Amino acid sequence: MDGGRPIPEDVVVDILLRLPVESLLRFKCVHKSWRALIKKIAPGVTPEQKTLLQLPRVADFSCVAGPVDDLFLVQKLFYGEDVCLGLWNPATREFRSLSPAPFEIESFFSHHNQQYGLGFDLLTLDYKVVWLRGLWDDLGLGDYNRVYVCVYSLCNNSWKHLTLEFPP
Amino acid sequence: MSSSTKFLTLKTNDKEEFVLDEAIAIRSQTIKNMVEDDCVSNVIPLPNVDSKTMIKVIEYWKKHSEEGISKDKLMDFDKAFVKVDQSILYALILAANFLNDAEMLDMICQEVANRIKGKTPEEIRKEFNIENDFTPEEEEEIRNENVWAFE
Repeated sequence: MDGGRPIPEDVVVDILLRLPVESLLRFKCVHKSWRALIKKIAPGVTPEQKTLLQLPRVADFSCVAGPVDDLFLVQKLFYGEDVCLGLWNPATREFRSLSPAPFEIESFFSHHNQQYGLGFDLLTLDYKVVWLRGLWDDLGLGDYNRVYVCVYSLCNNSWKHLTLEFPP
Repeated sequence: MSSSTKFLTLKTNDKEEFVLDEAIAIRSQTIKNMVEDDCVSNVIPLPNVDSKTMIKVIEYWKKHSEEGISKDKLMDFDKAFVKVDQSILYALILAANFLNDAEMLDMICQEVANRIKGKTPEEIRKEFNIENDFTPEEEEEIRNENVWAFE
């Protein structure tokens, strides 16, 4: 360009949206503003998170929610309480494991089933994971059955714990 | 054209005047809004467009307003239209954006995307006249995050 006026940001975005992912990732180091734009276009990319997981290693994960804007919520096959969750963007080949959820379950609760949700929070411009766990008091030692809900924020890499009590 | 054909005068930032059929000029949403809001006097100033670029824009508008022109002919025209120097293409982007002609902007953005997709970050900076604001260490770090994209 002839040293003239810069191209407006929305036009730059229009151009970037037409590019393959390889070009986008390469152009992240053109300028800080470009890196910020490209992160919006190809989410799941955070500078703190440098873990790159090669595709074959994703094999023992199963998808539990998504995709939302190219992001899949994956769960490592687990036994017992050993749950490992991650967000995966197959297009950019980026993977981020989520920090462990702060579940402290009383020992008398046993079986549970669970549901996951993934969404983009327009208010905070953040990707959020919702993890619902239904816990049953099989042994009859606790007072009632419970549903635990945790909400994960991708921006903060942290979980918020909510307790729901269903009416009897 | 009927006798009711209205003409508009467009004045570019280098003081050139272009007299154009209003029906053609309102391909620009910006001009259309001005006409509809009745805020058009005799001359419409285009402070962001120079005459060299405006000649190209009008060439495009006239071709795309031709009655009964075939799709193939238009495609050939469009292909030839974007085969211009980088500097003209960028002037056209700014003009299409200012004039708010979505169709023309779409075509030019696609052409720019085609031209830049295989380029290196250095080439992009040169092309878009962008100053590198990363330290060498920061740049290295980003490259390492996405090594495969640089292969």
